[in-house]
Amino acid sequence: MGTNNMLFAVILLPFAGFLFNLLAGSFVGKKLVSLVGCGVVIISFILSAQIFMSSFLQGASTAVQSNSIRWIDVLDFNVDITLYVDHLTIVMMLVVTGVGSLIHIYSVGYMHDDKRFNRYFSYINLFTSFMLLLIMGKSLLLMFVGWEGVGLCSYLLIGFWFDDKEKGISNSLAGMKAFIVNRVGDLSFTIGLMILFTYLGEKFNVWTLDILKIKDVVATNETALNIPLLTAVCILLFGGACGKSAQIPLYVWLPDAMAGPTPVSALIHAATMVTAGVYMVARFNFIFALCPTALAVVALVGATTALFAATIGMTQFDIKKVLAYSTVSQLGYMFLACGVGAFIAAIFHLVTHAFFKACLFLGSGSVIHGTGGEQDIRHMGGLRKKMPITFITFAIATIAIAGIPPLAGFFSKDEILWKAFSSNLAVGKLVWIIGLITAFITAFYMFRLLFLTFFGDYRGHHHVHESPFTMVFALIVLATLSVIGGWVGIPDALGEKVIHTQTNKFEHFLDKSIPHEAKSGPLHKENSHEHHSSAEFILMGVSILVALSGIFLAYYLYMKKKEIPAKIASSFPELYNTIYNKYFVDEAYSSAIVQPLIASSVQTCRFDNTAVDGSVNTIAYSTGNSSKYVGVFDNNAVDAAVNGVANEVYSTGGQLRLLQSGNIKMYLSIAVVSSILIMAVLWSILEWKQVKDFLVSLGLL
Amino acid sequence: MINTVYLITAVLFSIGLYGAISRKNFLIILMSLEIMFNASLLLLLTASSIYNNPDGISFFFIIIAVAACEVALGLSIAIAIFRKERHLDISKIKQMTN
Repeated sequence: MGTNNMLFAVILLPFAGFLFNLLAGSFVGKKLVSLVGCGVVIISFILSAQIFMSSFLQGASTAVQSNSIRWIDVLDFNVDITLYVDHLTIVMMLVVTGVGSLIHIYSVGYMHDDKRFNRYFSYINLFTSFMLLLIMGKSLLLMFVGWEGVGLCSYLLIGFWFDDKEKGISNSLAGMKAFIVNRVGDLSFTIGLMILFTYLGEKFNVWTLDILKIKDVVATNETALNIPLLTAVCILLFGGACGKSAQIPLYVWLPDAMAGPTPVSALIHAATMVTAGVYMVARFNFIFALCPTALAVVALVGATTALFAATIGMTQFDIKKVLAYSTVSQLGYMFLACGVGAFIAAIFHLVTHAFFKACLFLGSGSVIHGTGGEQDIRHMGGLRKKMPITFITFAIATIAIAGIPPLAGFFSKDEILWKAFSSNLAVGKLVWIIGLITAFITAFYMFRLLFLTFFGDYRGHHHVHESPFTMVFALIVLATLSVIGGWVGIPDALGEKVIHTQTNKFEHFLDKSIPHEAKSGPLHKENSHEHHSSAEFILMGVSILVALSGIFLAYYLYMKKKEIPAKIASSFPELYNTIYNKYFVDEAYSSAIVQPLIASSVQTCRFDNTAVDGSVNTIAYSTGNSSKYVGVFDNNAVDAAVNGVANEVYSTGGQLRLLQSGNIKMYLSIAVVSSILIMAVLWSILEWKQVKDFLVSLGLL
Repeated sequence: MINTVYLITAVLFSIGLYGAISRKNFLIILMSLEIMFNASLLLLLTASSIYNNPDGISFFFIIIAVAACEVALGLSIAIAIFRKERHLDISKIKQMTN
C-alpha cells in the first residue's frame, strides 16, 4: 500500500467502523460489533506504526503528505483535503490510535451489559476518526472539522446514559454543558482564525488556510509582522484551546463530563480530545514564539489552572472527579510548558500523561465495575487484596503522575519545570514555583486517592470481584507504558553524565517540526548550547523531594493519623467548604451568565407582551372605532350590492370548506397534485418544441 | 457528470416527497421536507458551478442558515404538539380546521 492510501486509510477505517456499527450493529451481535469496533482502530494503529517506521525512523525523516482533493473552490478561495504527517503529527497519531486501541479493547469488557453496545462503539469509532482528522488535516479548515467533530462525539458520549432512571437528566445536562462551554471557546478560535486569514491575505496577498503556507509567510516576513495583532490572534486561538482543553475560565465542563462511561473519560477526557488544545498551540508554535505577551498569558493561565484544579482535587470524594481535576491540572502543566516556549516538553507531557491518566481512569473504571457502580472513595478501601491487578497498575500510574523516577511522569514533569526555570521569559521563575507547588499537591491528592481506595478496610457492602481479562489487559499495557514511556525523553544532562550519549530522543525527534532553538524573538537565548547540568540536577532533586514529601504527607494523614483530615476540615470550615464546592465557580457562572440571560429573556417577553402588543392593539382598537361610522354607510349602501355576491361566494365556500379538513397530509397531497397539474398545463400550452429546446440546452435530453 | 447530479437531485427530491406524503410521524415528515429542501439546494449549487457563478454558492450559505432556523421552528412546533397531544401522529391532529 502506498503512503497516500495508508494516510487516508488511517482516518477512513475508524469511519467505516462507525458506519458499520451504526447501521448494522444492532443486527450482527455484540461479538462482531466489538471485533469491528476494536479491529479498525488496531489496524489504524498498525498503519500509523508502519508510517512511523518507514518514513520517520529510517530514511529521510521528512514529513509525508497525501494527494490533494479539491474541497472548496470559489473564485480565489481554495481549500484542499490534504493529509499531512510530520513529526508532531506522527507522535499524536501513535498516541491516539495506540491508547485508543487499548481503550476500545477495555470497553468490550466494561460496556458488555449495556443495551446500546453498538451505538457506543460507533460513537467511539467516529471519535477516533475525527481526532485523526484534527491532527492530520493540513488545512486549518479541515482541522476545524475534526475539532468540532470530536466535540460532537464528546457530547454524544457524555450524555450516553441519558435514559438512566436516577441520573439521566443530569447526564444529558452535562453533555449540553460541555457542548455549550466549548462553543464559547470555539467562537474565540474561529475569530482568531478569521483575523489571521484576513491579515495574511491583505498584507501579504496570501489567502490561505494551509498551515504550511501560513508558516512560510510568517517565516519569510518575520520583521514585517504586526506583533500586537498577532498577539491578539494568539490569545484568541488560545481561547479555543481553553475551551477544548478545559483551562480557566472554561474548565467547568470537564468535571461534569465524568457523567459519561469511564472508558470515554479515559479516551476523550484524559488522553486525547482534551489535549487537542495543547496540540493546536504547539502546531502554531511559530506564531506564539513571536508574541511574548501571548506566551505569558498562556503560561500564567496554565499555571493558575494547574494549581487551582489541584487544590480542588484534594477535597473531592468521587474517584472520577479527583481524576478529572487532576486532568485539568495536568493540562494546565502542558500549557505552562507551552507558555515558556517549551512546546516539545508540553507534547512529551501530553504523551506520558495519556499513558498514566488513561491507566488511572481505566483503573477507576475497573474499581467502579468491581464494586457495582460505587464511585465514592469513602465507601471503598481495602480493595488491594480483592482486585490485585487493578491495584498494582493503579499504584504504578499514581507513582508515575506523582513524579518519582524512573517512571514516565517524572521525566516529562521535570522537563517542564526545568524549561520553566531556565527560560529567560519574565514569568519563567513564577510559573516554576507554581509548578513545584502543584507537583507537591498532585503527589498528595493522588496518594490520598490510592490510600483511601485500596488500603485499610473495605467500607462498602457490595461483593467485590476482579475485572475480566479484556479490561485487565489494557491496564497492564498502560501501566507498562507508564513505567517505560518516559525513557524516550531522559534529559540530555542525565544521559551525558551516565552513559555519555544524548538520551532525549523525543526532543531531537520533534526538533524537526518544532524548532528547538528560536532564531529570534522572545525565546532566543544567547548561550543556548551551554549546559547548566549541575543546576538541572539540583532541580531534579528538588522535584523528587517535593513529590516524596507530598506522598509522605498523604501517608501520614490517611494511613497513620486518620482523624486529622476531618479535624483540619472542621477547623477551617469556610476554606474547606469553598474548595469542596469547587470555589463556587459553577454557582458564579450560573448567577453571572445563565440567570441574567433567562431574566433578560423574561424582560424581552414582557416588552413584547406590553409594548409591542399594546401598540398593535391600540391601532386595532382605533381602527375599529372609526370603522363604526363608515359602517353605517356600508351597512345600508354597499352591503346590498355585496350581499348578492356574498351569498354566491358563501355557497361556493360551503363546498370548498370541505377541503379544509385539518388533515395535513391531504393538504400536502393537494399541493403535489396541483403542482403536477400546473406543470402539465404549462407543458401543453407551451409549444412542445420550445420545451424540448430548453431541455436540450440544459443537457437533459 | 452534470446529468448525474440532476438525476441525484431528482431522486433525492422524490424520496423526500414520498416520505412527506406517506409517513404519519411529524418528525419523519420534517426530515423528508429537509431532504426535498436539500435536493433543491443541490440543484442550486450544480447550476452555480455549471455557469461558474459563485452567487449560487453564497446564496446556498444564506439559505442553509435560514433552513437551520426553520428546522428549529419545526422542532419547537413538534415539541408543542407533543406536549399537548402526547403523540406526533399527524393523521390524528385536526387542529388546523376551524
